[in-house]
Amino acid sequence: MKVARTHWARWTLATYGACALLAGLGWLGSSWQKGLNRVEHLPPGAGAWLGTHQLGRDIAAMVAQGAWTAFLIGGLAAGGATLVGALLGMGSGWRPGWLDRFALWLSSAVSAIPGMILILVIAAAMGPGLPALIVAIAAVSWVSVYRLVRAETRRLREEEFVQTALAQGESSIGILVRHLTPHFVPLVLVQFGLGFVGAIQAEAVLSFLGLGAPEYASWGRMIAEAWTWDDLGHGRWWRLMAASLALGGLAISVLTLSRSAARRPGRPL
Amino acid sequence: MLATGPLFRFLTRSLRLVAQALGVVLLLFLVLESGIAGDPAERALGDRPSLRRLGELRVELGEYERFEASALEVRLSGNPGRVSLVPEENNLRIVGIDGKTLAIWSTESITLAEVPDAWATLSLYDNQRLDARLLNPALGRLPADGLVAALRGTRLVVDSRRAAQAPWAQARPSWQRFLHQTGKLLRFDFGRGLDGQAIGPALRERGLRSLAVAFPAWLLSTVCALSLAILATPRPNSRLDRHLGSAAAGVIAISGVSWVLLLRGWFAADLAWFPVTAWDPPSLHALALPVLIWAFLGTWPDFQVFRTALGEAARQPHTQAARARGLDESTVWRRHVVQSAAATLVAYMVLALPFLVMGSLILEQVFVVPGLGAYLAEAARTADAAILRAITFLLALFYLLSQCLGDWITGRLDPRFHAEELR
Repeated sequence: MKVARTHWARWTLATYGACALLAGLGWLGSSWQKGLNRVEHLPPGAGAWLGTHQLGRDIAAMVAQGAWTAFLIGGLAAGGATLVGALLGMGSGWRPGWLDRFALWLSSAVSAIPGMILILVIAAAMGPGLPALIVAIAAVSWVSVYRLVRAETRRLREEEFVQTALAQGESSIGILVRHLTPHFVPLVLVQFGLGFVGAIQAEAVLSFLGLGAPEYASWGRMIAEAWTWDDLGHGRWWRLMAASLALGGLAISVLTLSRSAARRPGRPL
Repeated sequence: MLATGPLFRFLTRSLRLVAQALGVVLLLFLVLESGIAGDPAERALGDRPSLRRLGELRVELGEYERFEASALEVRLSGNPGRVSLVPEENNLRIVGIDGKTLAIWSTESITLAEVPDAWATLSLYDNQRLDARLLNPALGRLPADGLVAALRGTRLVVDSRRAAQAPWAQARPSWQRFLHQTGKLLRFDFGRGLDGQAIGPALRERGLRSLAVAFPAWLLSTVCALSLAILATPRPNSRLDRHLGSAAAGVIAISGVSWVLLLRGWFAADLAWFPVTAWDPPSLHALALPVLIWAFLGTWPDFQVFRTALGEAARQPHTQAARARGLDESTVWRRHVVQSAAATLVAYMVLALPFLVMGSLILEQVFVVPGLGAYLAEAARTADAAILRAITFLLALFYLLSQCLGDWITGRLDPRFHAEELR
């Protein structure tokens, strides 16, 4: 893969791989509370690589569990938003009509409300929990994908190769799937990356405000607990740092990977 | 010509604005009140709320037009051991001798149409009766009266002489609720929160507090971001440019929550450079750290936007032509690059204005600033739909107006904008 040729890209790939590995471990570990017998507030060291928290849980295990939650929230929210935005954008851009007018109006109404505020309102209305979190983030994130794909569909619709396909009697769905979709892939990949990062950052904010998913260990929840237990005030920096660096590392690596994948040779545009 | 004139542009823009504002109101109605995302009254009152409080809150929220906590009394008599009547939170349940439910009547919004369906599932005997009477004579003209008339003296298989008092409510149709809420929002009548406090005065008071933190922070971050962008843009791909770009990416990638906690812990706890005091009374010293943290976090996204806008302007043909004519670099920058990018930069800055009143969700929590951000966060925790609706609507309105203002300024600064718009 072209991405791995530079030092920066290798670092990115390694970070992403580490996060994915952690997520796998977090998913495999049936109970992240296994480390409960450890000493409470243990600093990082041989006993516990990343230290322990107020009940003696292993921070490293929590980071692994948080990685799984991040992939779950980021993947489902960004994936859902990308799918809805892309399908709606293609339908809306291909055949202007009532669907186009309705979707455009809906997207303009959604984008009139600042994203984080709307996520907060939807999460508050649905109550804390993972489904609420994913739905709230996806309900806000589809707009940017929709607008880009719609504009791109409208542009490509006038291109010669599409007109030729139309003249040859190809169906609309056939043209959209076979001819236009490859052109959307770079756009959609970049938007997916942005949506993924936005989702895990939104989760951190919602967890801090008490609207996260209490049934899941997440990096956002770790940051919120570090605040609740005044970790920094007592010189216990490890929980906050572990969660923050993990979140930042995954965010940078996902963004870099999605952009690199979008620039892959052979892609249209 | 009307189709290209300023009046046409104004009318089109106004219509678009109204459509967007109505869309926002509809979205808020769907999310907060329609029940799609869950019952707002039940969410606000938590687990197993009392039926009386639930009904009263639904009246406050506009879901019910009227609610009577004890509207009907249903008295049973007849052959014991056949069927029992079980009054529940929201239902009257009729249970057969084998324990199976024979019928459930919703006592929240009973309509006459439901009664015959319930009867059809029952075995009737000659010697059983179900009597009902209205406890509140004022309900005599409402549908509950019809229900009583339908139930009175009817034959039902019942086993006890238990009496059940049933509540009665008249639900307001969704379209009426939507129009009611829209009217209130457009009149800026925000009502009261769950704590009984008026929302309008609280918004004004808290908005000013948020502004006290947000405005200096915005000013500082804009100046810093612009300075860094002006430093980096003339040297594309230089060490400075690359390092600033990486710093921006790094700061943005790590969650803002982490930054706020880390910087507060470092400057206030470890270095003890700033005091950690409560808001009342606010002092310049107490405001300094939240302002500086906000400015730090705001600088980097702004830097990325300013750097891109100035970079684009620096690559424009007219800028290259000015350089080719032999103008010195500072003149090229002053007359061509900055002027060319001014429209984008100003429009971007104007779009930030609504957020200044909004404050910050995180900073206001951490530094205990009783501003709008903290108000919104508290409303989200308690699912206070009235406050959430009021703040979101106002913020969206400010945002739409600032968009119009940004477009207008862009049009004044850069005539190409109108030409693009008319195309």
